[in-house]
Amino acid sequence: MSDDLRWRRMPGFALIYFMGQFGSQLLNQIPLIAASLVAVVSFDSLPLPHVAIMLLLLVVLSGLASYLSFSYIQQRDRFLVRRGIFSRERIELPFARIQNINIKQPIYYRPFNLVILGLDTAGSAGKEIEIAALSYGDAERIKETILHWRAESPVRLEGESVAPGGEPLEKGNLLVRRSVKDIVLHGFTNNRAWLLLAVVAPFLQRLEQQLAEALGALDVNVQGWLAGQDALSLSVLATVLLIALFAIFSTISIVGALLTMFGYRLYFDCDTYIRKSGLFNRYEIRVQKRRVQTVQWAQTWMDTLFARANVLLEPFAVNGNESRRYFMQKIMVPSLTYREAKALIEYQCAGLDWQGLVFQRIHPLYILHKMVFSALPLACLAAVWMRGNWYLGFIVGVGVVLVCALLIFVRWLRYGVAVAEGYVFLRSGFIGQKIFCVPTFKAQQLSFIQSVFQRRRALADLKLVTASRTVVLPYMSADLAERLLDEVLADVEFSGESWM
Amino acid sequence: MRSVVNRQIQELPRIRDIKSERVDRRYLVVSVLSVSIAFALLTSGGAVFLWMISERDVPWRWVSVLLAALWGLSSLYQVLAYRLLTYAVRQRDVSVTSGVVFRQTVVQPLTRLQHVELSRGPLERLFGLATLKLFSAGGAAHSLLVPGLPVERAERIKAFILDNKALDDE
Repeated sequence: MSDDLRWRRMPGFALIYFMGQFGSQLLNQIPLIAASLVAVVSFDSLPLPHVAIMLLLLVVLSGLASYLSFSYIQQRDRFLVRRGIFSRERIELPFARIQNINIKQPIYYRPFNLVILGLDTAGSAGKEIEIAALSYGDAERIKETILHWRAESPVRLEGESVAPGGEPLEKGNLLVRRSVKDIVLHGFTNNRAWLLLAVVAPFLQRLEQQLAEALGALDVNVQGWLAGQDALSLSVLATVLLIALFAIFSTISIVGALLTMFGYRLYFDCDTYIRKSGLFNRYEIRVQKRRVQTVQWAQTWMDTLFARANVLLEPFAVNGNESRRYFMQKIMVPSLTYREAKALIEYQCAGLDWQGLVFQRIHPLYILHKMVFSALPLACLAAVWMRGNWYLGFIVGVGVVLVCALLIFVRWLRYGVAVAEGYVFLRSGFIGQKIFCVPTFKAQQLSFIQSVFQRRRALADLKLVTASRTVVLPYMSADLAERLLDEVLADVEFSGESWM
Repeated sequence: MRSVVNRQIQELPRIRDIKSERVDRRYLVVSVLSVSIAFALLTSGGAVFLWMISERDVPWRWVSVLLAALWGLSSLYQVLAYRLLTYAVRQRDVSVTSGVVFRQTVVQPLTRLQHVELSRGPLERLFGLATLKLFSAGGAAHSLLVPGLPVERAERIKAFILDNKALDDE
């Protein structure tokens, strides 16, 4: 290992990376910039070519400045980095503290087979660095160096399972592979494209105007035509429109899923999960097994129709206090069959029998309390909103109560609590469902919560705080909640196992 | 759960057996005072606003009676909350029990602590009190606060925690 002590710049191709970074920052700000520009001058009088050239120049110049201001030294056991255009920053990144190594290949590096190496420590925010335009071999070599150094470092982190010879126990074990069909199914059942509506909504009015103008130009009298149709054909029209809308959004969602998850592979190597995927930009996410705090089984209502489930491995992701911040990306494994999902969860949770879990209903008083404290006030509000029209107010109030009752009842049906050797489970949801699996020794804090109403019926909520999420087991018998709390506490305080 | 082998039965923590104690009496004064100050600021602001926008005479007598009643109620609530606020320091955890309508006992195991801190606001300084803040990796939203401790007691608990447990720090 050469201990080169001169500050080095990245390869020249990294210039594209810096420009790309600034460019994408700029893109994120476009609504803001556009709004402020339009506020100052009217859109028509804007000299668009000039603006475009200015922006391009800005991107190139700032990319160049960032490129020139970033330099680094790779020493035997650490990286030293200097960066920053106006406020200079020196970062020291010892290999032993590096929690996450990822290799990305953006589309513009594809032709040259170059990659970006990302390194970060979980301990502190803003101390992550990326080294761009490395050849794949170089990136792999640096990664190996870091992993190797960590393996033989005297301050090796506890619980890292490396065999005595220094050889990893398992090498590149492929756990999960997703076909295009699976990804398409995932895009279809986990539709996030509806979120786009919120973004598009402001422009809809203008679109409507333009549509009306266009139709006017074609001399089509829409309103007149609509008035001439009977109820049946109108409802058919509405249904067709709805289906078309559904198809459009599903397509967007499927395309999105394919972009990010094409060629999905989940490997397990050296006690680390490695997720690789992506159509144009290839992503790699690594999470060490012992960093996983909770495991989630998630199904949307459409997933339940296709008998598929997503499994999420959730490492710590919380803000500690000002000085420390933990954040690692979750690993989401999409659209698994029940058998595959079960196998993956049991792979992560040693000694767990997923099939043998018995979920117990929570106390039905949950329904009554939710009705009294959330549905009734809502119904009263809705009734009052009808302003003095008592008849209508009554109808609306009863309607709200009925709908809420149905929702609360369905939710109550879904709630379930299960306890197994070393694990606590919570199932919740409406038609879709989520099951959270919490290893008891990963608990950070516990709460026993009891309202005066619950106390009368000897019921209680138990809250388990982990470093990845908080799970509340509601309306359990106070006795069980207390016993469970004692047992979890004993695991945390006496097992001596580290949570990370 | 994990088996109880190798573990002394009497060692097992039991939430039912926690012997908790009330926080310092001065904390009641501090909490009533701070509520009153907040109340005074809010109502004086509101009164000025009312005086500025209203064209007719404001029924000041009734307004002040109402405000006094509200102030009395919130102070009463503070008294109640104080009487129901207890804490306990055990060998391996710290717990706080609080709440009037929703009673909750929060237990923070020492093995999961990241960071311990004493904080003292102006009123607390005036009365020689301190708040002990315990941070875990559960996040800032779930840091456990033990308010109303006399300074020397708070320092002793902090020292005990630091002694007992080299904080969960890499």
